[in-house]
Order: sequence, then C-alpha cells, then structure tokens
Amino acid sequence: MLKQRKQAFTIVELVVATGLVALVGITAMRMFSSVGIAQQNLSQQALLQMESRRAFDNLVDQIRMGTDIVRPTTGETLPYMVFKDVINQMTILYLEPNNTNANLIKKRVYRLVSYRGDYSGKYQEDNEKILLDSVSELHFTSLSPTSVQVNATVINEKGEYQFLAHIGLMNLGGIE
Amino acid sequence: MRKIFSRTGMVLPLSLFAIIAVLGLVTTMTGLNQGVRTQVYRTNNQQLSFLIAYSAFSRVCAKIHTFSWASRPFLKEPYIENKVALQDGFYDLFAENTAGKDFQADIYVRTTLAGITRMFFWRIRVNEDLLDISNNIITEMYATADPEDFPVFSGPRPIAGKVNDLLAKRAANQKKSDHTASELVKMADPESILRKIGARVPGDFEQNWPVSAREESMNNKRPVVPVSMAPQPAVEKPGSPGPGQSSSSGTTPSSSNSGLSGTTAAADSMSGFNVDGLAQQILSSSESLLTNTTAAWDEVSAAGNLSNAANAQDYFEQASISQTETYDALDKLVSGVKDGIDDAPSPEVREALETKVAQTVAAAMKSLASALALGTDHLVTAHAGFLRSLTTVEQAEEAVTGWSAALETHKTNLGRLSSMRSSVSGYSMPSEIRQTMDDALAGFEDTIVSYTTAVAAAEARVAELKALEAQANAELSSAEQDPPIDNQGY
Repeated sequence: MLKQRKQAFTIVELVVATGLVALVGITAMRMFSSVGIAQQNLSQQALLQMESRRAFDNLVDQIRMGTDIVRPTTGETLPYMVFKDVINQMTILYLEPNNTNANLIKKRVYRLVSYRGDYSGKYQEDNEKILLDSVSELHFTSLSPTSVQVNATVINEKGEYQFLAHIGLMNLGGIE
Repeated sequence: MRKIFSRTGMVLPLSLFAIIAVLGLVTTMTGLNQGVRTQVYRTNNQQLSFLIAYSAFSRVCAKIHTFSWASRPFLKEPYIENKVALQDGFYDLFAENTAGKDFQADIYVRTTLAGITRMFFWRIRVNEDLLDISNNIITEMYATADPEDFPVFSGPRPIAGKVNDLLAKRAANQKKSDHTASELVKMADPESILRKIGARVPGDFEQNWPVSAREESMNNKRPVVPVSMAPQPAVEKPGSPGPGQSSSSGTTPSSSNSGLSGTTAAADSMSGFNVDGLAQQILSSSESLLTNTTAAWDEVSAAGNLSNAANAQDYFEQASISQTETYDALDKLVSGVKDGIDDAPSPEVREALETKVAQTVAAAMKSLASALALGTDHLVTAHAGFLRSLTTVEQAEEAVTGWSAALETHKTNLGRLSSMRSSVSGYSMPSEIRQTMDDALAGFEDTIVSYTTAVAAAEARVAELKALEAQANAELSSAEQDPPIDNQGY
C-alpha cells in the first residue's frame, strides 16, 4: 500500500513537470516558428531570384535579337527602350503599373511590357508580352549605337533583386 | 511498454518532429539551390558554347584575312572541321559561299559542351578594301538554330533559306522603319512613342502610392537632345538592307545612328548636310568676291582704263571664281536645309536654323550686289566715252556682244537670287535681314537697267558706225566710178 503511494506524483511535482513541459514546448514552438519563417523568407527570396533571373534572361534575349537602337540615343538614359529587330520591326520595352502587385506590396510596382509594332497601325494583342512582373525601377542606357546597359530592380514582399547587364545587339554577331 | 512511454513523456515525439522539420527545410533549400545552380550552369554553358563558336567563326574570318577572298578555304567546296576540341568541349564547323551571292559566306558552328549541343550561324559579307582592313568582314546576320539543321556536304540548307526570308522581310521594312525611327527619335514622351508604334498606352495606379526617390530619378533623367535620323539620300545610301549595313549585293556598310547635337547642328543628319560649314563657305567666298572686285576696280581707276590695268585681270578672275562658289553654295544651302528645318526637333531649333540661313543668304546677297555695283558704276560713267572711242563697227559689235552676255548673266543671277529670296521668305528673321535682301535685289535690278541702257547705246553706236561706214563706202565707190581727169596734156 505504502509502495503504491510512493509511485504517485505530488501536486508540486505535477506543477513543476507541467511548467517544464510548457516551457520546453513554447521554446520549441518558437524555434520551429522562426525556422519556418526563415525558411519561408529564404524560399521566397530564392524564388524571386530564380523567377527574376529567368525573366531577365528573356529580356536579354529579346534585346539581343535587336539590330539597331532607336531610343535611348547614345548617352541617353530612359525607363523605356525602342529598337529595330532583324526584320526591321520596331519593338518597345516599357513599364506599366501593376495594380495587383502594388496593392499587395503597398508600393508602386510596374510590369515590364514588350510590344512589337508591325506597321499595321493597330494594337495587336499577340504582339505584346510581359517580360517582368514586379519591377520597381528600370533604366536603359545606350552606350553605343549597338549596345545598351540595363539596370532593373525586381521586387516582391520579401525583398528586392537588382540586375545590371550590358547587352550587345545582334548585328555585332559577336562578343559585347 | 507502458512504463517506457510514461517515463519518456514528450521528448521523443518532439525530437522526431524536429528532425522531420529540419529535414524538410534542408530538402526544400537544396531543391531551390539546385534550381539556381542549374540556371547558372545552363547560362554558363550557353556563354561558353557561344565563346567556342565565336572562336571557330573568328578562325574562318582570320583565314579570309590571311589569304584573300579569292583564296578562301571554301572557294570551290565547303570548308569543314569536325570535333575540334576547345575549352572542355568541341565544335564542328561548316563554311561555304552563300548561294547566289558574291562576296558572302555562310558559317555554321555546332558546339557540344557538357553534353549540351548548340548551333550558331553567321552570314558574313566581305569587302576587299586594301585601304580599310578594319571593315573587311561584316556580319550580315547572326542567329542561333536547331543543331539538327547543321548542314552536310550535299544536304539541304534550311537555315540559309530562313535567313534569306528574314533578309527579304528586312529589306521590305527598311524604309518604313527608317521613317518611323526618324520620328520616334524626336519624341520626348513615351506615350507618343507607344501610339506611334501602335502599342497599348498604360493607365495609372489605382491608388496614390508614394513615389520613391529612385523612381523619381528614373523618370526625371534629362533626355539627350534628339538627333535627326533622316534616311540617307539615295546617292549615299547603300543598296543593302542588312543590319545597319548595305545591300545584299554588298557595297559599303552604312553608319548607325550617329550625328551632332545642338541647335543648328540638328540639321546635320545622316545625310552629311552641314549648315554651319556651308554658311561659313558662303560668307568666305562672298567676302573674297567683294575684296577682289574692289581691288580690280581700284587697279583700273589707278591705271586710267581697263587695258592699262595689268593686275586687274587677275583680281577679276579670282572674283569670278568666288562668285561661282558663292552661288553654288547658296543653292546648296537653300535647297538642302529644307529637310533639316522640316525635321527640326523643336520650334526653337527650327527658328534658330531659319534665322541662320536667312542671315547667310542676306549677307551673301549684299556682297554680290555690292561687287556688282562697283562694275555698274564704272559702266554708267564710262560707257558713253568708251563707245565714242570706238571707231569700227566690229569694235562696237564686240561691245554689244560683251554687254549683252553680261546682261543675260545678271538677269540669270537675279532670277536665282529672287528664287532664293522666295524660298527663305517664310523663314523666321528680323526685318533688317528682309530689307538687306530687298536692297540687294534692287541693286541687281538697277544693274540690269544700266546694262540694258549700255547695250542700247552700244547698238546705237553700231548703227551709227555702220551708217558712217556706209557713207564712207558710198563716197569711196562714187569716187571710183568718176573717171580721173586726164591732165597729162596740161
């Protein structure tokens, strides 16, 4: 009978044990929570980088297909660019407000649009492409008649990612 | 069993949960990093492949440079290199003459690097120019293509066909694109450019988000003064529509969008028309005309008459050359500046250009009229005495011929100047400049009146001398008809 009574917990033991379990549990939960947030942040930043890199590659590819820069003129810096492509059609890269992302990030965010004019004089939906979805800043600087420096800042909820590229147009057919 | 669980409590499940969470985190991050690494790897591979291909392409160009186009390695049959190791990869090369095009070659390079195969294509044009070795080989077209399309010796050439199609489309759009580019380069706001190209004009933000300093700087960059990109005149424009270059038949590459900035220089387009240079030339030649004419008449005055002034002839000849140069340059300026004025990037530039041209024309007209007035004054004062000094019909007829020719020349010149005056009459200019031009034209008209009078006087003198000669001849003949008196008997 005495043996059975010794095996039981006293109220103090229970309180102390419960307190310790709660303390350890809360600490563990906070740790997991912060790890989870860090993971989420890292994931979002990595995704931002990946998507931005892919989108920026598209932008670079498109500019490389150009043959002559019309705007900006040499030495000029503009937030848009106009160039001729290999079949002498005129392409413009420009920013338009992206209200969905702006409302999400609470900042002015643009999407980078590419439109290829075909001299029909009318807007053709098929000629338009979205190259970057969340851009906060963009500069095109023409360094020579056939090369341009592009400086873009891509943004999402978790941060910014900035690109700088010096792109040679196609008619060089070589290294720039 | 129950005993164990009751003693371990929550430690085991918590530990298991922690291990699973950490494993999940590691797996996710590894996957993401792998994705980034794959992208970097592919980009790197693409860059390295291009460098390998460009090396192969450069080797072909070097071979053409080293020998000559006539001794090129693919003169009679395609030049082929297979599996040439380079930078941990290898390439295959195939170079041949472009079908149906002289002085052109198609170069195919297929690279393989880390298991990834890519193909690059160049069409080049060769200008064999001993004086300009830097511009011997010009890339007409560069493209990436499907590695499957790498040509075999006698197989099809799908890429070459596609390139021909692209170049044909390019040629068809050349004029339209030049025209559009010349308009776009003058536009300052993106909306006008979007409308011109036919693109959708975007709206504004739905909410009034604050504008960051960086964005403000993005939109407030001062645009460079636009440069006129008027298409080149036909005589200078190469036939080829290549990328900023010339015709497929291959002549000379054209320049890209280069030019001058500034007010009057805005008229200096790719056509090479130079307002400042022409204006300077006109002022210089018209001044030379006036100086030489003044010196010539001074010599004549000092010598007493034209025939005694030995140095005057040299001055007159120099003045004649300067006069021709002035008229030619004036014609060139007035006719050539129209495009520059029409394409002026702003009303201010247009006004400055118009005033400059009007000033130049007025200054030249004044010099021309002043030089002419010196001769006219001499003519008015001396022609009567000169005609009286003539004793034969031939001399008088010579005077008539000379003065009539001068009269016609002055009428022609008056016509040219009046036409120039009309051309610039709509230009922006101060009233003094208009008055100067009108005075110069009035001076020309006075000269024409003086010469007309002189010619009439000379013709009268011819008639007079003819009458005198006729009278003399009549007297002579009547004297011959009357037999001489024989006075031998006296």
